[in-house]
Parts: sequence; C-alpha cells; structure tokens
Amino acid sequence: MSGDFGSVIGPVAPEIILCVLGLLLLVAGMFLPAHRKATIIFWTCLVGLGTALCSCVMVLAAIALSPEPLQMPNWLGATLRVDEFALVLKILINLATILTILISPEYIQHRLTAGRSEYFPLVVFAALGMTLLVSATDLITIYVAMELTSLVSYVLVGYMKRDPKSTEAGMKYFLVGAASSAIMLYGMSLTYGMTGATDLASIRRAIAELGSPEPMVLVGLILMVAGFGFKLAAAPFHMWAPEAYEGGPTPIVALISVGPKMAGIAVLLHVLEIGFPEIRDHWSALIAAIAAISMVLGNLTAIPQKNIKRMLAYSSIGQIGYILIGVASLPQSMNDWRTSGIIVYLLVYAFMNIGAFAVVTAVSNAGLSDDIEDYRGLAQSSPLLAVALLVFLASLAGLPPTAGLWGKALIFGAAIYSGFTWLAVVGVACSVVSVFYYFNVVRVMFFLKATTPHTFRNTHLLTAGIIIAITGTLFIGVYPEPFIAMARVGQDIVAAR
Amino acid sequence: MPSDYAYVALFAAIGVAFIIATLVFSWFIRPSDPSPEKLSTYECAEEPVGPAHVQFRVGYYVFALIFVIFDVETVFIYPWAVLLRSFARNGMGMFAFVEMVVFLGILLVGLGYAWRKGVLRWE
Repeated sequence: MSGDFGSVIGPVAPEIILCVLGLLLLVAGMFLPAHRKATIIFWTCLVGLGTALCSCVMVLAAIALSPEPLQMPNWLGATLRVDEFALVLKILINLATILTILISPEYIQHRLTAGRSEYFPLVVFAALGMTLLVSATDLITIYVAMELTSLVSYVLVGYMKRDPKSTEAGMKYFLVGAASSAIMLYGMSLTYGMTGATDLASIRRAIAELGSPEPMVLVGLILMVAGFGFKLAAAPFHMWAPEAYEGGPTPIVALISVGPKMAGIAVLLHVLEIGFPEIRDHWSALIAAIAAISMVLGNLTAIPQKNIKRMLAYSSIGQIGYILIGVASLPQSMNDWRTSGIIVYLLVYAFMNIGAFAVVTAVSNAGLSDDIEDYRGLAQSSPLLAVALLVFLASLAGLPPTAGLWGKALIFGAAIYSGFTWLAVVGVACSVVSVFYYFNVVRVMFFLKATTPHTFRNTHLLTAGIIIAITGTLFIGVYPEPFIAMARVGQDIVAAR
Repeated sequence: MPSDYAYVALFAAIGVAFIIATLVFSWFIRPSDPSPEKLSTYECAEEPVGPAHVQFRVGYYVFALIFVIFDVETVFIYPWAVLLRSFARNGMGMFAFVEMVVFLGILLVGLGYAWRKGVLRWE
C-alpha cells in the first residue's frame, strides 16, 4: 500500500504544510533565544505560508492538467473534496493570511505585552481550519474544521489581555459562537436523523428517495444555514461582528473579516449544492432573504458609525449580503458564468477589505485612535495611506476603475439572469447608500485639517502589504478577464459522483 | 411518521408528570421539622466554610484541560489497538501505525508546550 501514500498526501499537501508549520512555530517559540525569536518566527511563518500557497497552486495545476479525475482513497474522498473550486479558495485564504502576517509585526509590538510568540502559530492554525473547511464535504469534518477556525478566532480577538475592550469582544464572540455551533450541530443531527448519513453525497441520495420535502429536513437545513450565517456574520446572525471588530487586534480583524467568510461561503455552497440540490427552491428563497436583510441592515447601520472599525464591520455585513445574492441565484447546472461571480467577489473582497484594515492598522500604529474623527487631514500627513484608503473604500463601494465594480457587476448580473431582479435592485440601492458613508471617511481625510500633526513611520512590511492590496484592487479593476477566467475553472463544483 | 413523534411527546409528558407527582406527593406526606443543622449546605459531612461563590485558581482549569486531552487520547488509542491487527492483515498496518504516531506526535508537542510554559508546576 506504500504507493497510496502519495495519492493521500498529494491533494492535502497544503493542509499538512500548514499543520507542520503551526507546530514548528509553537516549538520554535519555546526554545529560541528571546531577542531573535520575533524575527525568526515571523520569517519562518511567511516562508511557510508561501510554501503552502505554492503547494495549492501545484495541486490546482495537477488537477487542471490531468485528463482523468483525481483519485483519492475512499475514506478520504468522502470527507474532503479537493477540486478546482476548493483550491482557488485555498489560494485566496493563504494569500489573505500572508497579507495579515505582513501587517502584524509592528502592531503586536505596540499592543501586546504577552503571548507574542503564540500569535503567529495561532494565525497559521486559523488558516489550517479555513483551508480544511473549503474542502470538507462531510458534516463531521465541516464541524471540526469550523470549530478549529472559530476557537482560534475567539482567542485571537481577545488577545490583548490588558485591554478591556478586547477581552470583552473575545468573550462576546465566544459566547455567540458557541451558541451558534450548538444550533448548527442540532441542524446536523436532524439531517443525520432523517437521512442516516453524514457525507453530503449520501444525504442527497437519501433526500431524493424521500420524495416530497420532509419538514424535518427543511428544519435541519435552516438550522445549519443559521449556524453558517453566524460564522459569515450575515444578518440576522451578525450581532457579534461590530463588537469583535472594534475590540480585536486590527490585523486579526482583517483576517477574520475575510478568511472565515471565504470558508463559510464554500461550506454553504458545498452543503447546498452537493447535499440539498433537491430542495433548491426552498433554500434559494431562504438565502435571498438573508442576503436582502444583510444588505439593508449592514449598509444602513454603517451610516451613523463614529468608529472606523465598527463602520467596516457593518459594511462587511453588507458585503456578505452581496455575495449571498450570488449563492441565491446559482443556476441548476454549475457550468454557467453565474458561478464565477462569487469567486471573483471573494477575491476582490480579500484585497480591498484587508487593505482597508491595513490602513487602519497603520494609523493606529502612529498613536491615533480608530475614530473617524482622528482621520482628519490624513491626506497631508500621509498621502500614501490616504490614497490607499480611498482606493479600498471606492472598491468596497463598487466604483470604477477598482475591482469592486466587477464583483458587483457579475453578482447583480447573475441575480437578474436567475429571476432575482428585486435582489439586484436592493443591492444597487444599497451600493448607492454605501457610497455615502465610505466617502464620508474620504471627506474627513482630504478636506478637513488635522488638529495635531502626526508623523507616520511605517515598516516596509506594512507598506508592502498595503501596496500588494492596492495593486490587486486596481489590477483586477482594470484587467479583470484572467481572474474571471480563473474563477471559471472553479465552476464545476457538482460533478457526478 | 407523525405517530413516531407522538411517542416522543407522550414520553415527555409522562416524564414531566412523574416529577411533578412525586414532588407534590412527598410534600404532602413528609414531616416538616427544620433545624439549623438540617438547613445548612451539605459538604461531604464537613462543616460548611464560606459561600460557594469564590474565585478558583485558574490552574485547576489548565490541569483539567490537559487531563481531558489524555483522556481523549486513550479513547482513540484503545479501539485503534484492538483493530491494528486486522489492519495489518489487510496490508494497512504501516498506514494505521503512522496515522497514530502522527496523532500522538501532535499531542506530544502540546504537552511539551504546556510543560515548558510551567503549567505542570504547582505552587
């Protein structure tokens, strides 16, 4: 059976690399001398994440180029699904983690008094949970991967132990998260009770045999979707997000505002498309309702916010609403242009949202608070940061020539094509509203004078992170074709089993 | 199908009714003769000392966590040890062995971490 090792390890190489990297960093933090520890751990982490990213690309290339489908042993193939869709998202998750790591060192040096060497391993374990989650096609694997991601996120949000806001945020996030896990588990147990299976393909067969949709199957699905909704911070399951975003360390907020959303959307797509395609009409209406509530509530509540992290929290609730439009308007056959909108939007969202939080990190490193009032005159004191934030906010609002435009165009187009015209109308209206509060920040930065001048001395790493995010946002905005094409390889998420 | 759920409802109703009935019945027939000793909190026959709402040492929780880790480890190792021979017969022996070594290795790193951080010291 030694030949099987290759076929087992190959497809899950990114996960194995991340797991080994996390453990290695944990051990390194214990034994390295104190004065060189930070540098060594940081660079090892960066190189390790780069290796994981490369391995994702290699597995993707191997799958895309090989004529026959990927062979995995039965016990692995039923729980993890390594296909183009999952791999594209794994690449995005690794990219988001690398950007988070780049913007972290200065912030943790300023803010953390203890536990600096555990910070990086925890981020790596969060990335591991998310990469597992985008592949998981068994309810138990989904639950375990989701808990790995969530538990690490709770710890990281409450990481600034001496800061009451951070500990409060961590506690609230934990309590709401634990409750939502229980709700999701209850939904999973109902599904298992009705179908007698935990892997999604068998669940689909069992539901098809039941014929007319059993009410208990619907209840199970609704409870599971509610659980996923908590992790996605989609309204009406969003209450934890503003607190967690405001109190948590800003680089971590950048990660948890992007990574778990990618993973959550992947899980949602896998569960709905592999497990429950027989009751498409039911879940399509459910997701459309969640999308509409998220968009309206997120964008309207963002308007009066005084704290930029709270504002970005509500804006991200609105953003997840746009992405859920894409999920609601998925077509019967996945071999359709409408699927690629979701992936393009997630890619764009990763760049613009992490970029925005990177600028917030830079501003708070200079000793300013997170209040929008403190961004007065940023254009004079640091033109780079002000222009960067302008680009990210314009992209979040969906204005040309930034990447946000294409994400929205594809998603709204798909909605109209699938008969969800009302959702597209709500989405466009919300985008118009969002321009108001995004550009309020721009107004403060460019047209108001700073009360006290501040000097910004950012490390090269943070600047590099911001420049990568700007490049991504603008490049995809100007030249979107290759990315839409890349998203298209991920279309076929429901292959014949 | 609905009749299956009717059984569940019936059991739930009987369960609730049983508790209420026993409580009410014993309330009627028991003698009521309270004394300070009877009303004090039962603490393994010791004299109760202070209220129960006190802060516990956080060290207890860490010890409990490490205990749970090894508890779960046993739960995993036991069926594995029972099945290893049949795995070996099917040519999967090496594979199953490596799997368990990986699992134990990850736990060992966790124990080493806790040890190094001084969690196992109690003063």
